[in-house]
Amino acid sequence: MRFLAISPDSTGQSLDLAGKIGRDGRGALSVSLLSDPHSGVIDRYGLRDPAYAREKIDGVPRPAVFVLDQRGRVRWSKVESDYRERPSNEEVAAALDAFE
Amino acid sequence: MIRFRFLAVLATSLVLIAASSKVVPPVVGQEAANFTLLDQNDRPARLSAARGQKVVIVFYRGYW
Repeated sequence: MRFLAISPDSTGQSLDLAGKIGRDGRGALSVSLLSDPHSGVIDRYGLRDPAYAREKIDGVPRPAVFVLDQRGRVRWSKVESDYRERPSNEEVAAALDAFE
Repeated sequence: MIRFRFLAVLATSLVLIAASSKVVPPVVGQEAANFTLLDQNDRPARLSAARGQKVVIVFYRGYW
């Protein structure tokens, strides 16, 4: 299983975040934090949050999770409109277990 | 008058084109668009390199 997390952060900011998570005592982060500083992939996925269009942080995505099968097809997804709303770990785990 | 009507039609079709080309997130059954982005260690990561494995993609807002 591959886990890819995408944000508009720079690679330096992602490294900071990975370091912070790694210091929580549960070991190093095994996740790729991917940097999309110009929100190109965020736009290609139609996820730029319109709520911030007039602000400096324009380009942040709506929170979204996609579960893809081995052929790269979407098997499950959840796109929220508010960054405080995120799917639970259990929901994502169930979506991953729902197919061979 | 004809000219005005032409402009009105043109404007309407431009609005319609803009609306229809709005990108929406991929839905279940669709192939997720490929991308290559740098990870926290400045190494390029390509979605298509994960073919053969299940993949979870999370979009998050970052630090701001």
